[in-house]
Amino acid sequence: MSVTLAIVVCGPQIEVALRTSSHGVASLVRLAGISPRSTLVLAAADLLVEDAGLEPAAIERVVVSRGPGSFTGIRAGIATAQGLAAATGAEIIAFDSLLAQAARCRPTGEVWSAQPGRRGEVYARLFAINPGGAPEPLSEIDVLPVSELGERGPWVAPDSLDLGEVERIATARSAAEALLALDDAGVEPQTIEPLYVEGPPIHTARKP
Amino acid sequence: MTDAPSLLRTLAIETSCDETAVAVLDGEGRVEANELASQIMTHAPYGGVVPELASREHLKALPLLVRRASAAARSDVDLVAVTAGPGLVGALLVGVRFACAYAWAGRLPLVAVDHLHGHLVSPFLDLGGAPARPMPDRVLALVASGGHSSWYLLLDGEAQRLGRTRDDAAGESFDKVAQALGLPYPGGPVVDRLARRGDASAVSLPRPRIQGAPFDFSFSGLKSAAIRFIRDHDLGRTGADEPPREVCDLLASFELAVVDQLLAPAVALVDEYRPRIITASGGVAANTLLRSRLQTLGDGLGVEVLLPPVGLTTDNAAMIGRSGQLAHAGGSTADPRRLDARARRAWQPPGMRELSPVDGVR
Repeated sequence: MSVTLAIVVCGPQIEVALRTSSHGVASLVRLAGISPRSTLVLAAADLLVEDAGLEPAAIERVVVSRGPGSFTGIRAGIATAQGLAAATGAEIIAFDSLLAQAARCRPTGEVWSAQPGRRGEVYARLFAINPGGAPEPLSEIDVLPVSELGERGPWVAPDSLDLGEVERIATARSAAEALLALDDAGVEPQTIEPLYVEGPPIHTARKP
Repeated sequence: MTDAPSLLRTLAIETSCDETAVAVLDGEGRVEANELASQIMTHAPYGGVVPELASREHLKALPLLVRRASAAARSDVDLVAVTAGPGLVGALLVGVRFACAYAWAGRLPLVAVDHLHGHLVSPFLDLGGAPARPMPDRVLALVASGGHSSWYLLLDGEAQRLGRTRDDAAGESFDKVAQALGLPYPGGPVVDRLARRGDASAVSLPRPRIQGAPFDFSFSGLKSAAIRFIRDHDLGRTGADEPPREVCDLLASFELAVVDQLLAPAVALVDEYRPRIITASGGVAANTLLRSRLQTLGDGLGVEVLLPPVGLTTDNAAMIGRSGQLAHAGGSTADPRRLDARARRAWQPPGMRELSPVDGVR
């Protein structure tokens, strides 16, 4: 029996999904509006593992969202996957968060995918959602102010991300389930490195 | 003695600032692996630590260091120790999330370590393969680094702060003066090297004391006086290779003044608290003059002085592992499903207790 855990921490909510080969449908925990969120990733995973009657060591694959989105959230997700893999030998698979958002949609033509950015902006990318295949990117990743999103659409984004007055497309699954679906579909995994899109804010800190 | 003869084999992770560190200690505190990835070159162009860059670098380095440390260790670990604070919260979070996942997935106990407590135990560690030395029940400990400058009393393993800087940390003052001279970051090592060529009596610098707080000290006025001297004598564009004699003299004078400030309360502290051992730890404990002056002081007072190997003066994970072992033996555990990083020491793990001022301990 293969066991796969999917982790999404780089958006305004965390999602953790667990799927075993003996059950076609993944179990899902989604937490929104909780701060600090990343402390609860393992609480969610623990709940799912216990509910499945498994031990964490049974997890063979970890599929993680590598951004773009919250810089801290990106790292929390990847560090969790890395720690889990270091302890158990599990394989890590990574996909970017905009692709995962697009993979939430049923085949509907073109859709703009958004993830939260800094300073009231979003990371955005246009995808073609094709039947029977992975979403295909049609643009580079843009950094857009929310006020300009109405000029494009329809949009798919984390449910709790406020995009203002834009057309949002109905989704078929959560982002964590979308990661599992991308893995299932045999989509070429991406590098297990954070996708920040933007450089770091440069200011020095007094040593703690 | 405060520690059991044999504790759990420990994987330790430290990411509180600008060094990614992983260590494995056996049950007697022998350092089997001590891996470090320094970010000095990453932050050097900015003259200080850039928090977001530090976090990004930790995530890159940590899995590799854990692989290396695990390969060097003699067998599997039974405990995971991680620095949970104080530190840069984004940097801490990388290590905390990794350690939590490692402990959770391996069903291993986890212990959250206070970074300062790690420094306090570092003098009792050895990098040559010897077991950790047991801590006696009364230790007078100086922690001096880029972020801290305090004297502590370790009493039965618990730390009480006795005196502290009221402004800059000692290492921070080295960084600032080095920066004013155009010398590379961090300032401590270059000040140490150039000060050896100078005359410490050449420049007169202030050594202010805090009225009513005999164990506290200050570096701000001293640092400002040095920076004024640099400006007045147009020394701001010196190089680190062949600096003029005036620069070496200033740095020797400045280093002596900093060491004087740090050690100013020492005699009174020894008299008041009668320690069995005096220790120094933190990055400034690598300073040549501080080490020799402290040794001389201990010899004169008849108190043993214990200094960490220079390799354990900067942030490292071996000290976090030892602190974690001792804390776990004392009953401390953390829930990997809940543990968070703390920028400041907002919580008091077992083994750290602050009393200021300390009630008389006789």
